[in-house]
Amino acid sequence: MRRLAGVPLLALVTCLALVSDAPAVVRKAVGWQAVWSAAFDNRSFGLTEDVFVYSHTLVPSERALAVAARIGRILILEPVTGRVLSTVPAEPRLGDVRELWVADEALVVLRERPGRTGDEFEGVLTGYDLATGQRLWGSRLAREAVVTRRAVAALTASDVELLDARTGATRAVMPIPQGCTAAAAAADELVAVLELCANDRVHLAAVDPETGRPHWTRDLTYRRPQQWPPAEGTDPRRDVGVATAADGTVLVHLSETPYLYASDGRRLPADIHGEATRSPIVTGEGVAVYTSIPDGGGAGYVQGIDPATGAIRWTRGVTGPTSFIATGDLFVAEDREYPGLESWPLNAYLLAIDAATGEASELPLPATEGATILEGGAGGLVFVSTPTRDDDSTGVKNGTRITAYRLVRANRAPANPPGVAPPANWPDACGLLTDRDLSLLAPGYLAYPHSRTLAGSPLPIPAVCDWIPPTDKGDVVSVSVIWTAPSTSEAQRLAAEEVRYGLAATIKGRDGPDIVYYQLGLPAGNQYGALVSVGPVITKLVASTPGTVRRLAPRLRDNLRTSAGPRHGHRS
Amino acid sequence: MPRARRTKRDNSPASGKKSPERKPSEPVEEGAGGARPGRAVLAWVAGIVGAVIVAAVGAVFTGWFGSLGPGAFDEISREAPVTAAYVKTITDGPDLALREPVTAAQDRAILLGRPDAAQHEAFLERYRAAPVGETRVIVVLNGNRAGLRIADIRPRIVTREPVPDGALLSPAHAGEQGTIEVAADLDRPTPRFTSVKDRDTPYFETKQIDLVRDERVTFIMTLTACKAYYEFELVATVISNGRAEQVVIRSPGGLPFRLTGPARAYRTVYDESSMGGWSVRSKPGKYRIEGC
Repeated sequence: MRRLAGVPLLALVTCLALVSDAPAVVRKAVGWQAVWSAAFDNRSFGLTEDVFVYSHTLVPSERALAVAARIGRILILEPVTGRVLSTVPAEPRLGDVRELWVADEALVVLRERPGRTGDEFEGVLTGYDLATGQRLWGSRLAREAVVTRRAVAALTASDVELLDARTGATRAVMPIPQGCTAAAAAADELVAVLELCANDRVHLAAVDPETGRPHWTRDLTYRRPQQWPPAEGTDPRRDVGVATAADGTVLVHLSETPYLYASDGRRLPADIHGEATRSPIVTGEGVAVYTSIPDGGGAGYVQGIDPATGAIRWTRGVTGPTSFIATGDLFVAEDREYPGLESWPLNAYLLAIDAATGEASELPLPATEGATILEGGAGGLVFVSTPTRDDDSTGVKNGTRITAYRLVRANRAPANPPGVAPPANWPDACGLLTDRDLSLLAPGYLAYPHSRTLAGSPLPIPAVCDWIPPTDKGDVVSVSVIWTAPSTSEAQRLAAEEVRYGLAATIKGRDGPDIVYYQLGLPAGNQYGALVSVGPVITKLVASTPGTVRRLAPRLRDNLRTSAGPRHGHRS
Repeated sequence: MPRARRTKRDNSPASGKKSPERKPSEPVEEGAGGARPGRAVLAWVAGIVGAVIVAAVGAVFTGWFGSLGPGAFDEISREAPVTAAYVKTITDGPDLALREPVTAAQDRAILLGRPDAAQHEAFLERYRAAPVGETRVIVVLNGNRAGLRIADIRPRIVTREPVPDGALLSPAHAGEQGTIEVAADLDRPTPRFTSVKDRDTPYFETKQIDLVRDERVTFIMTLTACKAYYEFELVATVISNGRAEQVVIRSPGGLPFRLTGPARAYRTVYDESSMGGWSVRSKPGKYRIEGC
């Protein structure tokens, strides 16, 4: 009997194997390709040179990419090309821009009302036509707002008003009961309103943004977090929040306790730790994803859950606090191999996770980590900006560059990701200063190599080397090979980017363009170093004293020049 | 939730977004230097008690070490009445004493150079690095019964030895210390948490903590020592269904917590170096800390 039953089972297994073999072309992520890149500065926003802009705000959607400075014009870009679609005129009387949203047809802007008094934020909301930049409606007073595809939920002290994003017309008003405060979050087609009342009762309503009628509601109880010993002067403000993913998944946290609901109101049994509940939740390809980073930082993880069942589809470790976005069928996070330890490697890596399978690829951007801010994504594109900086050499004030990248897939992953030299071309850090070089300082230095891992693969040669003096009072010297580019011109571009965005203060030197001396103020005192780049190799030299850096940096450069001769892929 | 961190965050200028919630994943910018290296050194300082920091991450998953009281071994497979969801030692600030001087070439390279976090952590374990004078431990306990009461938590000393004087590591101070009102003095014959002003009245009795299932309580416990080197664990007495059970809390990784009194002088004193490692202080002199 048993043997007979085995035959159809075997046949079935064979069939399945054949079927699953057929579409076996799994396209591998091979690299990030820039789709467009555009620079903006004060002139782009109609601002004079003397206006200081600390940072720019970027809000991406599939429809438009909105870019704003604190004041001035707001630019609406075509996300696929970077072309300026329209410009929203400056509204100097409305105050500084606080937040922006891109709805289906309108740009919604919350500005800080000028001349306000008191601690509570007071803002004004206005709506603009995405296609023309013309004001459509406003301004409406609001403390906070959230925006769905077609509606705006404006929170005031006494109610939540649902407005048509296109016309600003009021569709519904939901009064906030006396003694309660409200928070809200918006999905594509749903507004989640959380009311927290004086008696610790919490009311959650998932509201239809068109009518204000609740799809579903839940009553919860807030339990005050217990602490021992009771802290004096504890903040009486209660720790609650609500977040939504685009598909309508709702995540509520009441102090440490998380509540996860599917868009139809079913409570999902997701195993979310307390600290995860404050991170954003995003969806793509029918998977909801959240990150969990421990309080105070450190390694955490990203988890994809099935919003239908709450089952965990996949889990990935992440190395630390990170921006986290959904775009197309990808989740993308900035990834640091050595968070907090040192600035290694030079280039930024983005971790892309396939929403459905959890398969992850870590690939470098053609940009340094210090020059990279992951802003968001839409339609499969990832938008990255540089920190806002002046560039005195070209007269640029408060400039930033926005670049859109797309993940390129191929049938076969290349041996080496684009933008970085193969591991065999990276020089041995311990070979970059010789005993003779170190004997300038004192005899008896010993070299200690440190290996480094690049996107999960260990480099075969030490990328970092410490030279320890014979006595504890001597100067410690350390060299890091922070990047090896495929070409000299690429290395020069990256080194210049690092000087501009990664080194706070550079010091003039007379040792030629290959050496940039710098100084960084740290809690433990000043760090003295030099960025030394020769050919495709970029290194950093750090030592206990500036004098030692100046003595050794030219030696390091000369050794790099010698070793950067014709390479055959192997070290001698 | 180290208080120093929270204070720092509150003092920082408004970040532009109006969210009233705290955002634990936001890095706190430090110092006047570039954000990146500033963070790097702080993380490195945190790595001084690297065992704790690194393992505290693991604590979320595995970081509780419960044992049932004597006579309860027949029920050992049952889930403990409370589990530690989070254990962390606050590493902002205190000096660390090492038992032996650091003379081996490899260890000097770790101390003076720029090793990775795992190497440094193993180094501190080997030298049994202990914070000097005072340590603060944060424990979040999660209730696993329909109802239970935490009747007491007290330190239990596992090892007592003379204070080490091999070396002292003195980090650059970035965080400010809050005032301590409740602490357990490990030098006392039976250490218990008391008011700092009145060392004779057990403080725990003033508030008993009741938890329902999945409810949590955060303990921020300060421990002090002047006279000796201690390895200790924390023992919670939990009452549920009319019976008392003991739950032992250890540092992430399953090791006891460490704390030492100060030596009069250390053979070598190292200050945090701006390169990321440690550098020798030229004239260390006599060593004193407040309270000892």
